[in-house]
Amino acid sequence: MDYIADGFKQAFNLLISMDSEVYSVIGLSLVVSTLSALIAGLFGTVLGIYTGLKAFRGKRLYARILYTMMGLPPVVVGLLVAILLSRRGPMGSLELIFTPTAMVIAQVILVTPIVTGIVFNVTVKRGREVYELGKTLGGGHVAILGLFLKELKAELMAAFVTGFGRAVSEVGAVMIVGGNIQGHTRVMTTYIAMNNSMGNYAKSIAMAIVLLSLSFLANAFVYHAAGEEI
Amino acid sequence: MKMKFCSISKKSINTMLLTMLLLSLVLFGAGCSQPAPAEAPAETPAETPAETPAESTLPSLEGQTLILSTTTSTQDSGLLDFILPDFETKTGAEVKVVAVGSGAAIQMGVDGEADVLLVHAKADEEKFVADGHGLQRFSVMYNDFVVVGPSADPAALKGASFANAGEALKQIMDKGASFVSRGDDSGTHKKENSLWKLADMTPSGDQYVSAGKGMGDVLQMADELQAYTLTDRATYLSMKDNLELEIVTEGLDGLLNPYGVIAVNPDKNAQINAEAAQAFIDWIVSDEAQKLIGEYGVEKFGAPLFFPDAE
Amino acid sequence: MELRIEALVKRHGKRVLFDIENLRLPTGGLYGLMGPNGAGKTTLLKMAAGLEKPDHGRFLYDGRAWHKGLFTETTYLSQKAYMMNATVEDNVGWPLEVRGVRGLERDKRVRLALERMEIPELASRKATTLSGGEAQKVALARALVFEPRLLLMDEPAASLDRQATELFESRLIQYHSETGATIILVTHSAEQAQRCCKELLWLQEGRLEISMLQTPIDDTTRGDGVGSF
Repeated sequence: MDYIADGFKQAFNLLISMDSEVYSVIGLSLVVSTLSALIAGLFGTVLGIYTGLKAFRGKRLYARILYTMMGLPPVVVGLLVAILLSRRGPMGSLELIFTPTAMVIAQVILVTPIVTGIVFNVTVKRGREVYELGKTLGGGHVAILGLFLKELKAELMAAFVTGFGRAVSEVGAVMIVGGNIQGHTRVMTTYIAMNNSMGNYAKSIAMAIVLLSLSFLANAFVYHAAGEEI
Repeated sequence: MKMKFCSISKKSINTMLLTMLLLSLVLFGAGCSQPAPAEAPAETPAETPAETPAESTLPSLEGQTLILSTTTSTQDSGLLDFILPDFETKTGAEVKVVAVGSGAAIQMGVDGEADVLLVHAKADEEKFVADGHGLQRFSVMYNDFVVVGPSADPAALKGASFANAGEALKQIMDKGASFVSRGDDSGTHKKENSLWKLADMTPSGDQYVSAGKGMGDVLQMADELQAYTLTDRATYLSMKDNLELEIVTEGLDGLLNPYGVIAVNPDKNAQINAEAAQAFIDWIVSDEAQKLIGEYGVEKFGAPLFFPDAE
Repeated sequence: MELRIEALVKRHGKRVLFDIENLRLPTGGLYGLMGPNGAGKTTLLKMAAGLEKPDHGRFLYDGRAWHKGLFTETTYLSQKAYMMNATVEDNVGWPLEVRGVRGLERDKRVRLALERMEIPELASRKATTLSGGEAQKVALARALVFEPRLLLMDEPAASLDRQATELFESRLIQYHSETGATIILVTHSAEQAQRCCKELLWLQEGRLEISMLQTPIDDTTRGDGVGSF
């Protein structure tokens, strides 16, 4: 069992040694997942608010499907995107497979239902009131959207951070569409998986610590925002 | 696509197996003594099994399990699925295969988490035995490496003559073509590194793609990126139908890939099944198993993937 | 603003909530709206406010069907109004801002609206921390600040104490006489209807009847009115 303690020790050394590969991996993870969460956040917020407010036939079925999509398995998303983007696939001519762009595409597909679902749920619960208030006070579309964003700020923030957390911690999709290429598409999760299969437990543990700390920070941020606003 | 999916799930199964192993180590650690394997180390000091293992009968190992730590190539190529049932019917033992990169496979031996290794990193294997982690190395078989690349062959390797395989790789870089490296510390990766050393160069830049993945994934990636890569012939042949890659260089110095089998030193912990490990070695170097190895792939690919070379 | 209801049908599941053929409410009335629980008073008001759609028929506002521009001239106030997560001042200022009234003019009108509800001291309080009664006063100030021409009030004083209710009523009557706006006030209290309104709308079993409030209510509920049913 010594190698676990040893792993933590080495992990600490690795972190403070400013190993440039480690930091570029962390950097890419943050860039890819932040971008994914931002794009998915935009789509998801608009879609969630719109479908949450609108009364339409089959809304209940829509909600079921949406909540199911929130749990899309990352490998399935990765597989779909890889099929689309691979050289022989329908969008192969774009030459996007094994690029950070492909990773962002896959993560946006993965995260959009999550943000949409959360925003939809909040909108169904509280949105109607806000919408009606805005309407009855004479606000136009833009003004009401602004009011909406202000009133549901904490929930929307939580949705965004949840999406980010999901993106940064998934390995299935980025492994398939990114390919874990050193210095190009290698992110924290694929780094951990790879080093584990190579028997480099210290490196895996070091990165796992970073990933956990990031998740913790993101969560702390949400709870802080929520505690203040709700 | 299918291939990629398979290797991902295989990886997670391996991780699960490792976790279970760890758990069982914790749960049944020091207190729980296992009489049968515990006596084994006393009878098997490093030198005794040195002479060629007896051809005769294999012991009955009904109900026992053997943990075989091996490289992805033996599993991905389908060889193990072809030959292991013979061992299992003859002995009654169940073989649990943990297929990882050679580096991790050997590390499992060092950690005492496997009973026997079947790997292809000769220098590391010899060091493993010299350091006392394993008992003795026996040659089992070899296969060979080939360089594959896109049919357009932008680096013009086809038909060119080289002093050794390192020169061929060097030409890929010199002509500005891309090369996908396993980058995972596997036997193939180590082989590749030795070839670069042969050509006296350190590859770098965007042309050199370090994937950190198994052979199957790397072949897919090279196919996608229209790049070259170094692969064992077995994995390449088994996936050839789904790839547009062709063999561009073969048969050169430095492309042979010998596999060895080593029993893990049973002194490491009481869980190591030395009896089954020895039986496995006896079996895999026996004429019958060697014949099986030589037959594998002939029917499907028209040529054997591995060549038996036990003494 | 004149409000007219034409051939209105609204269902709730299979149950027909209303079936109103024709009813005209002339400009400048302050109408009380009463009826048993579950008669659909809130639904009727929300439809008049453009927040819900009838299954059939329509409302006409000064002879025109519902159009988006009406949102700037009508308002709807519920029993427990939603408070924005902002200061009282910003709550009351919001309807002005969306109409392009900003700066000093906005501040002046907000201050006046709060003074008329006798709550100038609440200006910088966070609206979500107010008591129920305070919040309703802010809500009325916010509803009147942009001077709507049609006010749909859904028991706005239901949870207020006597003193606050009096203030509410007098402010409503004052606003009505100053601006000549059309107001419909849903109430459960016959006394409140007596105090505030000249005409009473009675909603029961899907029918809406209108009557004058000059004699005690009991006698007038079946009396003849301006509209028909």
